[in-house]
Amino acid sequence: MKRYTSGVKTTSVMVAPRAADSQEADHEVIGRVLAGDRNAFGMLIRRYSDPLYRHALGMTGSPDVAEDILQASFIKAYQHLAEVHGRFDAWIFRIVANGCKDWLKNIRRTHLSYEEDDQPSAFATPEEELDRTELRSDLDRALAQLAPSLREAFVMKHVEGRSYEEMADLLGTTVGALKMRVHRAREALQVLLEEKYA
Amino acid sequence: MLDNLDPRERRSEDTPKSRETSAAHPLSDREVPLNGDTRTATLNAWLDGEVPESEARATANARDVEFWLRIEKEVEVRREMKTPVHVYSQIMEALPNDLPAAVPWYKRQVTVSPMVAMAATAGAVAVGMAIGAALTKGR
Repeated sequence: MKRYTSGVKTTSVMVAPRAADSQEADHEVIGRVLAGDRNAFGMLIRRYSDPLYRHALGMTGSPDVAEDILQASFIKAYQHLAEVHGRFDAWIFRIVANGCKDWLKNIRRTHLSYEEDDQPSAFATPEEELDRTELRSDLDRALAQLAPSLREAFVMKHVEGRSYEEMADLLGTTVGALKMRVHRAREALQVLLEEKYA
Repeated sequence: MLDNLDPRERRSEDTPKSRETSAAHPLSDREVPLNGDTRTATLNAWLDGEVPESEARATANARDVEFWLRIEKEVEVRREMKTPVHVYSQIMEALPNDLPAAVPWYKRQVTVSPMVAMAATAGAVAVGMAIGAALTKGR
């Protein structure tokens, strides 16, 4: 199907850009780690940390929590590395996603905000930047009000820019179900935000 | 599948399982049209990259299109976010010094080819027959 430039940029990658031919495949890196090369694990961290961090940040709304989840997930992955039989990227994604869900179960956030001083800005003027700060907080608050499954679907689709097929692959559900979640999430967000922004 | 919206129908013991909400099939996944109107469908199709913006502007509410363009601008910033630099070294320092634990033998995956499976079965049958014959002889 022809893809149009729309509100959503869809990437054609899995968790991260697929290893280029010149790069060592994941299973080879895992083999080196298991053979005693502890530093080789750093290659896997560098390869997959960005999309996983974005997922954790989108789900929790807190950079500190996202860092903690990422760290705990990679340590868990290291300890159980010998148990990886399929794709490492899908496996580590599930660990991070479960970490986020556990965190959401255990804590109820009333205020969420990004502290992204060193993150890029797409806004040209200080006025736009100010508007953006407000929109950012409002969007965070609205996202926090969504059910975890809807938030997860919205974050994966819009923030991570994944295709529905990738999402279905990673979450073990159907494309139809995920489309429904994303559509419901959009509808809920629009209801929450349209008075101020529409 | 459509939801049963008939309030007269009471849920009872014999309610078909397919209608019940379960963890595996949450309510939010039911493929029921949300508003059912073309405008919402077109808006979602545009946001999913299936139709061009011009079609969304022509069919959907212009305010909705502007709203989502604004949200998208904010979301785009998030899409570019990188893991803070210190996190990498933090993780590497926190890794245990021991090598990852080996998988215990009972958790290891075993690959068995059809030939090996047939040979193993034949062997098991032969052993079984031998034991049976020995027991019969012993009586």
